[in-house]
Amino acid sequence: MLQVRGLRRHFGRVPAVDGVDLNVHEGEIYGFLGVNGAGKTTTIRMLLGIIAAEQGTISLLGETTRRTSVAQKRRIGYVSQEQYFYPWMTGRTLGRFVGAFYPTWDKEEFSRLLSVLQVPEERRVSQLSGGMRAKLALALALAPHPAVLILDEPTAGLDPLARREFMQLIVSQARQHRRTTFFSSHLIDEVERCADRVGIIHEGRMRFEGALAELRETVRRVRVPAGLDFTPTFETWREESSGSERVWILRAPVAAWNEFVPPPGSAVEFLSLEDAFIACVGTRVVAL
Amino acid sequence: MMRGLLEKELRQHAFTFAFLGVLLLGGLVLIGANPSLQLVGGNGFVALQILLIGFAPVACLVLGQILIATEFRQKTQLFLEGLPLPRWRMLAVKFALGLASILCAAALALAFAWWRARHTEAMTPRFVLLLALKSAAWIWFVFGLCFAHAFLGRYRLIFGVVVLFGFLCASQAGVNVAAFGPFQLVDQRFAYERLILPARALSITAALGLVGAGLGFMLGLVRDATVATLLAEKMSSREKIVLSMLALIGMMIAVEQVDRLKAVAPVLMPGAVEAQHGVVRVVAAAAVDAPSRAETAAVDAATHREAESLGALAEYLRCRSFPTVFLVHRRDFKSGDVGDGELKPAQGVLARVNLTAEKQDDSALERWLVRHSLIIQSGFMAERERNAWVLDGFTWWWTHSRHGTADALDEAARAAARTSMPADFSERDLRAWYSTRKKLGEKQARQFAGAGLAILARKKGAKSIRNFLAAMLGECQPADTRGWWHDVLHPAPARLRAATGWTEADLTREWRAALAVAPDPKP
Repeated sequence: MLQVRGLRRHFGRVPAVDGVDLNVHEGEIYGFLGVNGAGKTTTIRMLLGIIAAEQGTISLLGETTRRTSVAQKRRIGYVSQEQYFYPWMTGRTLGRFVGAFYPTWDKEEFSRLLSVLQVPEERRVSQLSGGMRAKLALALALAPHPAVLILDEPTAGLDPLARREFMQLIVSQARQHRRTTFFSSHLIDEVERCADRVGIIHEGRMRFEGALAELRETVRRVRVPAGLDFTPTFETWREESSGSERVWILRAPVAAWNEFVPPPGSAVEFLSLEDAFIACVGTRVVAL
Repeated sequence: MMRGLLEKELRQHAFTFAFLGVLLLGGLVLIGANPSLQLVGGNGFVALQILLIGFAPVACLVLGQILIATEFRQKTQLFLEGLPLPRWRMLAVKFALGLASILCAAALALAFAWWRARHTEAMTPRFVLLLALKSAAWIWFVFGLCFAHAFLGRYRLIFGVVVLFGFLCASQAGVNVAAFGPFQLVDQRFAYERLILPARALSITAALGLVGAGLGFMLGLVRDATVATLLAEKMSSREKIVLSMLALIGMMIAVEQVDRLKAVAPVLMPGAVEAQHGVVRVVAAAAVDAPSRAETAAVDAATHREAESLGALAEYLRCRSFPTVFLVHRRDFKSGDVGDGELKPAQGVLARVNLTAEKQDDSALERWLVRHSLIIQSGFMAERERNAWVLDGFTWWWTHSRHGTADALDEAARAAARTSMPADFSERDLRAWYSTRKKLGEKQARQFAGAGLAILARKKGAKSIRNFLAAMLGECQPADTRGWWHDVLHPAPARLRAATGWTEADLTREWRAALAVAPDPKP
C-alpha cells in the first residue's frame, strides 16, 4: 500500500531524512516512532508531497514517484501536528471549503463525524479548544473516505483523556474500514496500544521496522559480570558498563537467541517496549 | 477547487475589498464631479490619472498584504499545503484575484471617465486604447512589485521604506523619475496624449511587472516555499537592533550622497572678471550699483593676484582640482575684514571684502582664501582637531616661506618666542590642537604651528615637507563619510611618517629643541 525506498532530504547541510525505507501494508496501523527531531514530520511531509524528496521513491496506491501527486493526495487523509485552520471559519464552512478539493467528499459523513466527535459545526475555529481542533482535523481527513490516513503526532498537546479517546477513534475507524493508517508519535504507550507494526526512526535513519512482538522478542538485555570475557556477535544497540557488571542490549533473530549460550554468571532479560525504544535511539555506549 | 479558493479569499477579505470599493467610489466621485467642481485641473482623465497614481498602488499593496503576507504570517498556508492543491495554483489564484480586482476597478473608472467626457472630449478609439493600455500596464507593474514585496515577510516594511527613500533620494538628486518607463505612462500627458503610443515605456513597464510577478512566484515556490515561510517568521530582538542600525546608517549615507548629488546652483555674478591659473579659477565682481574706475581696477587686480597666488598654492600642493574662488567687492567693509559668502562646498568659496579700502591688507585676504579653500579642498578634514595644527601652521608658513621656497625657521622661531611654549609640549598638544590654540591665542598659535612646519622643512628638506602638506591639504576629499573614512584610515601621524619618516614625537622633540635656542625677538 505504501512503500518508501531510500528517501532523503537535507535542510542546509543537516540531513533531516537520510535514506529511509518503509513498508506499510494494506489495512494495518503503522506507528512511526522517533524522538523529537528524528525526521518523522519531514518524512510525512514528503509522503504527502508537501516537500520534495531529494532522493528515493514513494510507492503509494500502486503508483511510484519521487513526489506524491495531487491525484494520489486526493486519496490520503492527513492530520497535521498543529492545526492552522482559518480562525474565522466554522466547522461547517471549513468542511465546505475542504470538500471542494476531494471528489469523494462525503458531506453526510462529515456531519456525522462532527456529531460523533462532538465538535460544534457552527462554532468558529478560533473558539475551539486544541482537542476540538484535532477532532475537527480528523473529521476533515476521514470525510472523503481516504484509502490511507496519515497522522503526524495527532495527539500532541492533548490531555491524556482526549489522547486516549482520539486514538481509540482512529483505531476503530481503521479496523472498521480496513483503512491503512500511518501515524507518528514519540509516545511508546500510544504506539503499543494502537499499532500493528512500528518503524523507529532516529537521526533521519530507520533503526527498526517490524511488529511490536518482534521488537520484544528480538531485543534483549545481557548482563555479564565485570572481568568476564564476552564479545557479542549480535547487533549491539546499547552498551553500558559499571563497576560490577557490563550490560549489552542486543538484537538478533529469535532462533539466534534460542541458540545463544550466555557466559557463566551472566543473565539474559526481555525488555519493556520503552527500554527497547530507548536502547534503539539512545547513546550507544554508556559508562555508568 | 479554484472556485472554493476564490470564495475563501473573497469571504476572508470581504472587509478589505469593501474598503477598497469605498476608496474607488471616492475616485469615481472625483472623476464625475470634476468638470463642475473643478476639483482637479484639466479634463476628467486627469482625475483618472490621480486615481491610478494614488488608489492603484495603495490597493495593490493592501491586496498583496492580505492575500499573501497574512497567509504566511498566520501559517495558514501550511493548512492549504496539506490539501490536494498544487502550491503554484494557490499562488496563481491569489495573484489573479488581486490583479483582476485592480484591473476591474481601473476599467470601471476608465469607463466612467469616458462616459462623463463623451460630450466634451473627442473620444477616438485610439485615445481610449492608449488610456486602457497605459492604465493596464501601470497596474500590472505596481501589482507585480507588490506581489513580490508581500513575500518578503518580516522584511516587508524595511524594504518598502528603502524603496520609498530611494525614490525620494533619486528625485532629490535630480534624477527624472517621471521619465522612466512605468512613471512615464502616468505622467502629465496621460490625460491628453491621443496619438503617440509609448511603446518603449509600455514594454519596460510590462517587463518590470513580469520581473516582479516572477520574483513573487519564485519566492513562494522555491525550496517548497520554505524561503517564504522563513521570511514570514517574526523578527528577533537582535535582528531588529541590527536592522535599525543598518537602516539608520544607510539613511545617513544616503542623505549625504543626495546632498552631494544635488545639482549645485551656479553662482551668478553679472559683470564679473575671471582669471584662471592652473586648476584655480577666481571670479570677482563689485557689489555696487556703479563701480568707479578705481574699483573696477582693484577688482581686476585682485582677481589676477589671487588667481596667481592660489594657482601657485594648488601647484605646490599638487591639487588636481580646486574650489572656485569668488570675490565680491563691498564698500561697506572695513580694511582687513573678510566676510564669508557661505556657499555650498560644491559651489566654492566666496569672500566679501573691500578692495579699495584705505590701508587695504592683501595678506589678510590671501590668508582667508588659503584657509577656506583648503578646508573645502580637504572635505572639511583639515579642520579636524588632530589635523588643525597643519592648517594653522600652513597659513603662516606659506606666506613667510615665500610659497615654500625660503627657510622661515628663524622668523618663525622669533615670532614663536614671543609666546610661551606650552609646558611639556608633546604630540598630545598637537592632537588636542584646539585647546593648545586657546592657550596660545589664534595668531600666536599660527606662528607656533608655522614654526613646526619650518622645522620640518629645514630638517627633512623641501621635498618631504611638500609631500606631507600635499597629503594633508592638497588631496580633494568629498565632504561626506568617505572623506571622514579616508582621514580615519590615513591619520596625520601616518601621513607625517610616510612623507618625512618622523613620528609626531620626533617632530615635537625637534620643535622644542629648535625653539629653546630661538634668537631674541626683534624689538
